[in-house]
Amino acid sequence: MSTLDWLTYAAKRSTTEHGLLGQVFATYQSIEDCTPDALADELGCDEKTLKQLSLCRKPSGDAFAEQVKILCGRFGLEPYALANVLRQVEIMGEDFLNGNEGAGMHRTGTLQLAALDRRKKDEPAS
Amino acid sequence: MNNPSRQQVEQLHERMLGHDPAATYDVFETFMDPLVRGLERFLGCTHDDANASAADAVFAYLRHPERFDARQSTLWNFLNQIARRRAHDSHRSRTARTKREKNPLTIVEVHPPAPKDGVEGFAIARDLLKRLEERIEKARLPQRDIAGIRVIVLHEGRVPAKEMAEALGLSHLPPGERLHEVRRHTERLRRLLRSLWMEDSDVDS
Repeated sequence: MSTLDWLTYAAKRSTTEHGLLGQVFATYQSIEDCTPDALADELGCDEKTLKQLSLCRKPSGDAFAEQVKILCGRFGLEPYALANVLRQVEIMGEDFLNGNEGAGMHRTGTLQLAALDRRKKDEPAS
Repeated sequence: MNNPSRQQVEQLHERMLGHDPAATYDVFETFMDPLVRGLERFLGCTHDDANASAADAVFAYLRHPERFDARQSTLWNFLNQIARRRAHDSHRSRTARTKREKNPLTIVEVHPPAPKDGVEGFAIARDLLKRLEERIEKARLPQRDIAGIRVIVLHEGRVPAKEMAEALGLSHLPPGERLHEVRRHTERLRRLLRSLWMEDSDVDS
């Protein structure tokens, strides 16, 4: 039996396992409408490493930064790439998981409006 | 890959409890190969079934690592037991499914569909009936018997006397005699169905 056999099977199952990176990656792919290959490129790794990462715990809580560092050190990734994916899913993912894409759009809209407000305040009065 | 050493396993469990993010992957890497190999070799599982049962065991542990008690067993035994139990369950469920699919009387008599599954149950019965009809066709039975068999299969083995009487063309008989005839023919058709089935399974095997 090759390692790739069980790795492929387990990685596929991890997409529905709460708390594993597999679920985070599946959500990210839905949000970004991208393939596993594209996600692997974004993380700077190959497909096998992406599957291995899928079976790791999702970094969270106070130890977030430390856990991202551990994972990136272990699998040879750039920390910012993994952190970006995790943050994006944290912001947008809940609505996608709940099937409320419209609500996700609304939240993004709110964030964008807040950003515009801030920019207006920051602009010098003419 | 060799079975993991005791020390290796103890360290892994410590890391799981300590929320090391890569520990979950290491559990897979450490146990999947030996678990799958054991299931294939000692339980005769297919490669896919062994894979699925081993993964079930590891995922169950990942969800609740605290349920493993190191004082009672080793982690290897703990996972192996879960994997074997899953493999047995899967084998039992597959055997029952095969039996149901091969023997129409089993599904209608032993596993009647739930009322909420009425439509699905009807579809299964219709499918089984179709296959059975092919066998019956070969036996060149009279149309009346085919109609009676249809009633037996479609009503999951609990035959309504009125419908059976209509199918067999016995509705004109007085009630007492009609019931007697319906029972007699129902028994005869059940025996016929069984014998046709036996004949068919002999051919299959």
